[in-house]
Amino acid sequence: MVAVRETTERVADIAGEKYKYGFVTDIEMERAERGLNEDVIRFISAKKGEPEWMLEWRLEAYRRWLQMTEPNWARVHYPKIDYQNIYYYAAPKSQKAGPQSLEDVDPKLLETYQKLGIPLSEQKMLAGVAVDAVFDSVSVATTFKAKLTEAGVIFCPMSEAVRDFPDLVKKYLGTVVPVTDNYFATLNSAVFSDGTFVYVPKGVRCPMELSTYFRINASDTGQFERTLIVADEGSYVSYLEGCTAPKRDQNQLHAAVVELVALDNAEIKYSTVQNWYPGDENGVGGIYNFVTKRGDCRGRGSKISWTQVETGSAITWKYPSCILRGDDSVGEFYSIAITNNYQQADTGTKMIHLGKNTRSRIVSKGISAGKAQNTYRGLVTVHPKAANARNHTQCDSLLIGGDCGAHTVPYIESRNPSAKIEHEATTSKISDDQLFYCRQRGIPQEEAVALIVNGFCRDVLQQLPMEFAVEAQKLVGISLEGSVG
Amino acid sequence: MSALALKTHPPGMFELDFARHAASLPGAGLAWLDARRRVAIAAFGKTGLPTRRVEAWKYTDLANALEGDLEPVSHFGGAVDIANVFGSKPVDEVVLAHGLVRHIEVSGGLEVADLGLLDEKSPAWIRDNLGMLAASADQPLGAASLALMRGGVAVRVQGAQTLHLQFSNPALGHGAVSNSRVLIVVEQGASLRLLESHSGEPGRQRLANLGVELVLNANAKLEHIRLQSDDANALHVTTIGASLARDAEYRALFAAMGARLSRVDMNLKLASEGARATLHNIAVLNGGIADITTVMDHAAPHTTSRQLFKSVVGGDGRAVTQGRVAVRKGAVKSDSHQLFKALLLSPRAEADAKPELEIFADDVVCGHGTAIGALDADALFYLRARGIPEREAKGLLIRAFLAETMEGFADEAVQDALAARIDESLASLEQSES
Repeated sequence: MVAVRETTERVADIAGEKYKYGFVTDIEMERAERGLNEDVIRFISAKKGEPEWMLEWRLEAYRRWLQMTEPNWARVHYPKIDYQNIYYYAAPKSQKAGPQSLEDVDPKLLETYQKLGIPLSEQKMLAGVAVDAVFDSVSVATTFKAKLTEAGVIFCPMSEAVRDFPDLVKKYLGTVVPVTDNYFATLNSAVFSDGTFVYVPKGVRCPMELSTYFRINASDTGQFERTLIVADEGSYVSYLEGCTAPKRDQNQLHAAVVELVALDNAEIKYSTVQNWYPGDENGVGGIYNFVTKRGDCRGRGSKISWTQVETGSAITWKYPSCILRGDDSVGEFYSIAITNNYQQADTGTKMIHLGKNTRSRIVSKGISAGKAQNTYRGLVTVHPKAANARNHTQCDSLLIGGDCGAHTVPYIESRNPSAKIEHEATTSKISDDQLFYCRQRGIPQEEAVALIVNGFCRDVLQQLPMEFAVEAQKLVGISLEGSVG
Repeated sequence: MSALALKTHPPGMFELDFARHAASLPGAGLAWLDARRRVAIAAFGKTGLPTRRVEAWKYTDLANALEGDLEPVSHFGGAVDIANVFGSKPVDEVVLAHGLVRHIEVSGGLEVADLGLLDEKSPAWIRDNLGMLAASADQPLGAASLALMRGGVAVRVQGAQTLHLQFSNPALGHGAVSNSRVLIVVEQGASLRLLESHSGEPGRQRLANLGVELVLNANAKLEHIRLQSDDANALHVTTIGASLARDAEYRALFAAMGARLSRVDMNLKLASEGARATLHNIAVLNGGIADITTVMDHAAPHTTSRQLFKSVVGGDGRAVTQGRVAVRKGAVKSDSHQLFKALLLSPRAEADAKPELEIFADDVVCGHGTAIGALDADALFYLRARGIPEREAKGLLIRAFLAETMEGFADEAVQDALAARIDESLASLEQSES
């Protein structure tokens, strides 16, 4: 009976939801002028109180960016972006003084967080999550700092890290995703406004799941976070990234960069649930999400694991990758990408095997409904020195309706005879038999689809930390609403 | 597009040939052919000689493999060595030297025409079909083979027939390129077993650029066995365009065993309901690149495609397998599977695979699998433990790996002949290993 009640509750949840994070908070913003030039970059840098070397780093990136062209190889179509018509910096004004505790935080912000369901105050013990919430571009509140400090873990906004730990930042920033890596990463390097810095010292197992909620708020504001996570020898950290954005019609550009560095025997687990505004049923509005995420298994026996649930954004362009440099290192990529209506997703991973005995695993589940296009694009490459490298890739696509598309574009390259690479992919629609079975037992069509899709995604959902797994399961259902006739 | 055409080497070899010789090419003056040749050279010009910057040629740099300017072959009077690679001699055969027809020997049921002798008296079925496939910008070398066609053969099939096309490439004193075409039209309900062999002598670098059009009308059947084993310095590009009408069936077994660079670039359209295609490919190479790139275009409901590609790579060889399965909107009940497997036998060997799915219909079953690795150490140990010498044990395992690709094709004589050629290639592989 408990199960029945849970099911009914979930159905009620789903029925009432749609895009439940579609609201706008009215807060006075402090903006840089519209457009991008060296002055805007100087403005951002000055706002952050950055040292000279950081400004130079940004300017160098900007100059490189000017010479680059926007990539067009992905299977996504969107009107040309006018990069001079975007605000590159927006900060909530009331943040100026820098809040020391929750009492100092703008109550409107707190209200926003409550609507988002972020466990910032009373929920923090319950969820056991330390939150560094990014409201637009500036971090406004950080919790659990004391506990983390005790363990020696640094978990702070990037702007703070630049100020307080310049040596660490200098040593690692841009070493995984170089300034000139690609068009969007270079743009990010020039204008990144904030983000998160994590450093876990030798042998430390981070005592809690770290989490940052990103939220885009100001109209026309691109958000350019920069995240850097360094796990020193023998350490472990699990990081959760969740995203929501208010509903509005103007397309919003988002170009983040995430860099992970795992040294000898360190492990980083990076989980994302992304449910930014995907645009409405007619494909109007929605976020453009062009993200560069890369992890470097720099040390022996290190491990980096990416898990992502991508349900939002009008356009997703995202390939969280692992460079398996250290011998015996392990890379994992678990992904669910759901597209509905006019959403377009081109996502996948790269596993680059450089060291001996490196192993990688890819599980990708793509679900396409409505008029959406969903592409898995991945690379597995084994270099001549990567003896005994091992890869297994599974990518499955599910189609719901006759107007959507599902595509698989894997690149597989082996240059070592002792390496073993396996790849399998399937594309199909929801089985009529399964659907009939559910319907026969009185489960409504839409719910049955959500149930079957959840089963289809199970391998990936299992990889999520508990707090995320629940939200993600609901999201799977919500994202597909209206897709079944 | 201009960025793609930047690094073509040597610059404009094909365009120059066209500019100089368009007026003297076979069939020049036939309005329909002139027009198609002009469209084709323009289509080629969109990419020029492909480099790795062209996505479909990412793993095979043709422009870079060329050592210098190659002269077009428009006449060849030298001796042609006719080796019967497929065992028992078939009744009907066409021998071509550097893509130019040397001799035609056919009985009733087959209409055969020399494309080097096209004129206004050429039959309507050639005019209706020639250059309609394997000549678009997606297949630039195919386009060039039409624009610069010096010879080749057109075949029209009625009833049940067997035909052997022997392509021979005798030594030449200079670097050479041959541009030729094959057109096969299988009429409604007819069937053809097509045996195609390519062989060559050592010598200066040459590029055999062949465009093949396969037109299968309703209920037609084509079984296509192709063996390409050429000199280690030769370059081979064969562009195939195939179109299958209702309930037509195409079954193919290709074997690539030697060349500095060989590529089969196939675009097969399942144009009508019930069309079925099966394509098996074997590559055994000790060096050089063997590339098979296919597009299975499911353009109609209830169409089926099966692909099985197996590569055995030794020395510094590189096996490239790229397959795209495209299911168009409305092509429901499309059923497609592709499986690519590669064995790497030496530390310098490489295998690159790109099995792509592009699906625009929901009620389909499509899948692909890829596996790349070395010989199974346990299986090898098992055989060695029973006193089988290492080389022999490896040979057994490799033959077993390849065996399933040949099952069910042609007759015993052809299968034996193929197996013998594979054994020869394997022997040279194994030697380079020990």
